[in-house]
Amino acid sequence: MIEIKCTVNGKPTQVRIEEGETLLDMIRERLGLTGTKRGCEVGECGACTVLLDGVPTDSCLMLAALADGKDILTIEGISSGRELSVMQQAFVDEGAIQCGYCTPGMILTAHALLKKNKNPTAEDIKRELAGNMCRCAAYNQIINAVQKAAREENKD
Amino acid sequence: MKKYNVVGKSVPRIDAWAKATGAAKYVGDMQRPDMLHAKILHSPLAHAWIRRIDVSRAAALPGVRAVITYMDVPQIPFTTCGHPYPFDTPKDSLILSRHLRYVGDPVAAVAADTQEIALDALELIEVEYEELPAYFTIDAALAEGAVELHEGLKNLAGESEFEIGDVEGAMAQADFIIEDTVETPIVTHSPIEPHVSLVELDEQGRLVCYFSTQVPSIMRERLAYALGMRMGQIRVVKGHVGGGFGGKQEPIFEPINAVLTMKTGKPVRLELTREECLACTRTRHSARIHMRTGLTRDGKMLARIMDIDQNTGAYSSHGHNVVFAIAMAFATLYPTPNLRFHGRSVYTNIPIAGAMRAYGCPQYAFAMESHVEHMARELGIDSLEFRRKNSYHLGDPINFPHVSVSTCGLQDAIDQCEEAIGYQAFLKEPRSDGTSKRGIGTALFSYGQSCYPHSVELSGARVRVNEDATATLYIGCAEIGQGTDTVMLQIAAEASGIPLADINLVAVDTDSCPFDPGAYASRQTYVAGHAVKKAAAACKEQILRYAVNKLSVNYERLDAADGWIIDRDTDQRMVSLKEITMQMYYDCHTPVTICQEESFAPTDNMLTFGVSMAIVKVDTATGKVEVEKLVTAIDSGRIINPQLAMGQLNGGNIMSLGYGLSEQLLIDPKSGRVLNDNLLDYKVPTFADVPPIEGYFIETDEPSSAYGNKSLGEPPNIAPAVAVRNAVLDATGVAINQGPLTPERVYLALKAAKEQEV
Amino acid sequence: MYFVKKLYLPETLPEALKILKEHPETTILAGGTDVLVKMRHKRMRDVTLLSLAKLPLSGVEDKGDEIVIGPGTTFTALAENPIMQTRLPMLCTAARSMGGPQIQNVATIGGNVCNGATSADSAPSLFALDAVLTLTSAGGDRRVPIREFYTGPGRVKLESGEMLTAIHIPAGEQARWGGVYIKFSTRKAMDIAILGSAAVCELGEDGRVIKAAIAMGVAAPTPVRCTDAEALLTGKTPTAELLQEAGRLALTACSPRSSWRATKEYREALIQELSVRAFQEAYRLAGGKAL
Repeated sequence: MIEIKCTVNGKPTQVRIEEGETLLDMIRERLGLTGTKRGCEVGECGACTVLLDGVPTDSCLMLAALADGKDILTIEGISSGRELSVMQQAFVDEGAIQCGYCTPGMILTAHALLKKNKNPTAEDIKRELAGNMCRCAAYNQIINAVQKAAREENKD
Repeated sequence: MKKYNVVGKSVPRIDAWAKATGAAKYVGDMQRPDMLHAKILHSPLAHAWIRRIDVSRAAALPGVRAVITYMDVPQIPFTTCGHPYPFDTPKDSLILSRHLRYVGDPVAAVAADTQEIALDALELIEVEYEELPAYFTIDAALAEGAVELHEGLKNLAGESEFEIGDVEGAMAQADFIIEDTVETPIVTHSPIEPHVSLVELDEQGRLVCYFSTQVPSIMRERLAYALGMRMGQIRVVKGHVGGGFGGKQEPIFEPINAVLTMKTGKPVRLELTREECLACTRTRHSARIHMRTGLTRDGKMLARIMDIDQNTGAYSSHGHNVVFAIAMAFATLYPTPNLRFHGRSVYTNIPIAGAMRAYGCPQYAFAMESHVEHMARELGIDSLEFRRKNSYHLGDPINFPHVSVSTCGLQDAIDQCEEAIGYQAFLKEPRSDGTSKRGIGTALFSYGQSCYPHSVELSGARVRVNEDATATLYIGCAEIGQGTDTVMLQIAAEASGIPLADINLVAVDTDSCPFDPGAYASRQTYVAGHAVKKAAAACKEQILRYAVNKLSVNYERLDAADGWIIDRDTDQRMVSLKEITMQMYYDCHTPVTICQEESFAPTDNMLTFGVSMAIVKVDTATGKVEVEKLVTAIDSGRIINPQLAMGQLNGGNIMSLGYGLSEQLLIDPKSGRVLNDNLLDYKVPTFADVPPIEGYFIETDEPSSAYGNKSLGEPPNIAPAVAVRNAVLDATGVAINQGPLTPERVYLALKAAKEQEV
Repeated sequence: MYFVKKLYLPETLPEALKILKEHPETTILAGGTDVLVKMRHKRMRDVTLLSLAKLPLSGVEDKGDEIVIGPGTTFTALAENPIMQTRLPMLCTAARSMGGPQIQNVATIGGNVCNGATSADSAPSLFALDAVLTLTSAGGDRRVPIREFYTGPGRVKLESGEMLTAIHIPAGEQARWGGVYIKFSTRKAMDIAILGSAAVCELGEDGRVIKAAIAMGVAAPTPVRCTDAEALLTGKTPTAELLQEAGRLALTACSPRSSWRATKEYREALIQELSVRAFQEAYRLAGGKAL
């Protein structure tokens, strides 16, 4: 067991982990943040996406030990209380959520995209969200949601 | 059409907040302090007999709490088929068996303190197998002298046929006879949430089962049957489900988990890996479909013959029921006086085919709409015109028992699609640009509202109105992502007059919710929706009848909406519901509870209709097909929630594009092993692969349903694949009668066609 | 959970090389997107890992006559790097074609190369660009042309105790130069190449081809250069017919095999077609006319 220090959803956190443990295991099993989903464990579905220093990362393919010193944002940290973030609200408004299993990863990736690109085109969104699979295939609704969130954020 | 207050509005999903914030707990997210983890040892051989199995080393491993084999489970043959009490399906399955029939069949299972220990234990189980002859194709399994996979069944899980009219006589009179054979691939559901269960014992020692399932009530019944238990000893709870698409419509390894729980007395979680989900849960049947149709010179179908063989894999599961569904589509979409149908479901040593979105109709449509395209081209009739001429028009006779059509928006849907995709303009556009060729394709579809008359259809619903006129709706039908819970609340709100925000939902807990078989056959809004409407309306009636005395008006004048009792004559609010319901509960001398349970069982089946059209660009040098645009128009009756409905239309269409272009589960012809048990090689459409999609609802007002609605979840999953196939034919002149149209398949077909020309 | 016996996280190169020397069984962990998948599938036990995460191995440097890419550069960093975008956009295309964004965000070009896969998306471009690799051990550096580095499926010329520390790409004249990578796969993202085709074309002032380089991935057990096709094109002014002939000659360097992912017959057709397409586009980018 080793100990790492990282920031999880804004909070400085110390966690004791196994060296072979994935970031996904750490987040779900040790921190109890089950909004990060287990889908394939080999980086082929994106359900386990978290933002590592702001960058969308498959937490199943990352050793937890390598998150030492990093900033981790999971779906639980993107809003607080009953209040939704602009992106979350846009997903709700545009019908971009169906079974919901891909939703946390999808929202996080979309959140990171808007930080990089304030006005993404449909093609930008398709490229940047291509690592998040949605079998309900709400893809077109998700494009609408991301563009709606972009409009909302650009208002300010 | 009549206007409603809640029905017809895009109410946000009631689970949206929980799903958007990650607060939604799926079964795999549930924790118990002393929870064990289960893992399954799968057969490495396609067909084998366990000669000897020794689990002693595995059982001795520290942290292992139970190891079970066929010797530890009831040997009660059952079917996993997730229909209400499926009498007609072979009882060919055991929870664990000594006879293994495909690569992946469970041999043994372990419950241990951690997943790692459980996996280590699997490696310590010693098994000596006696290898048996294995068959992977229909022909091999039916060949003379083939060994029976299931004793006495001749490798047939089912066979059926019917004939209407005089097929041979009509064929003799036909000017044209068109014949085709089409083959469809094995595909998988691949919901992003893997199959998962958590089973524990309650204080009374009853089994409490948290399942990711589409069919909570059926799971309880099947589990009780397979375990030889009384249903009252089992409680099934369904929470959020991360997608199903038919793959979670039956028990798969859940009974194994139940046995491990009873054996250890501890909560056990069994979560499958992605590889297990792909290789050993359920698939959609591959099929070989032969068709022959006799036509008049002016393009009228006189007689049709369809012969279908589907590969059902190692166990029947839904097996031949899928063929019954195909038979209904065959008989109805293109009314033809003379019909002959024959279908077989064949056992082989490959993964088990079960129910998958649109239950046989994607296979059927891929074949039939290819065949129809062939007919139109052979006769030189525009393929849209040909379909208009031959497809169902309101009033046409229906050649199938218990199917009746009172609303049909099919022809309007064709008009809508034709215009939206710009069909006439496209016909005039240049098609070829060097190696790149463009084409347009069409496919029609129809679908039922439930399983009736093939199996029982019944849904219950209960509405309990509280003292303050808030309420709780109890239903047994299953939200799996499609939006059922929200739609049922809309119906309850509409029919009761209680605002949607004031109604809570309990769904699904078999201890408290009324019976409902669950999410399949696109049945829930049609069947369960009716039950919800009846229960909610019964509550309203109870309240209004009570109010009659208080308000001193005739019952006929009263209605309720948005939490108020309304005067029908003036449309004015008279008194709040709350004021009346409080009095009902707290009337000192004649108090009464307000709780109504109703059920609905249809005695007929209706049809949903629609059409998909696609424009494609084919790179003839590489065989790559690019869908430029897809348009679908569907008559699903009145739409209860347009936003959720559009989600189903888009989702079904995209899944069908995967079926048409990229998805196929590949079986090693030597070993029977699944070759592509991962999402890199099993190619579900990604974000980047999705073309622009336009969807249209041709709203009709179906009188037999709660609010004019018809089925919606599955029908959009039927036609796009074959519309694309027909567009490739239009672009290249080459008919490809096997799916999916992968670049390689298209390339090789174009090459073969070119060589034939020379 | 993986069975990691020890995870080393050295912060300097000498430290890393010392560990590699003392523990030759060590597996180098770059982005981890291949290594961890392999560890999971094989349930590999007692693995010793050396992570490159803290080593200063990422970044792109323009040294005038060559561009040096740190092997720890992620595919996203590569694709977004301004030097790469202006000088070697074909590698940006390759980087963007690999897996999906999450993979591109952590997977590194060095890991992609050292994994030794013929399907590596960076390989055809690096072959066509005549990349040279610096391999470093405690004993010092050596340079190996990438064409000699791949020795078989999943096998590379990395000696025990050695690691990749730099990728050098000779940067020629930018005028009259074009480079292209085409990834051919069933899906547009999250897919493995059925065939990868890269081409580089440099034209003389008279419009003749001075340099033609065509490289293929998944066309043989290792990535390959199509030298016969290149020889045919060199010194000539391309015509449609000449390109067709070059496409046929591209096959001589290739030995595709049939697998359940694609047949030999199909891969051969793709080699012919995509070698031509890649070169044709490289030629156009170099200032040649569209053919």
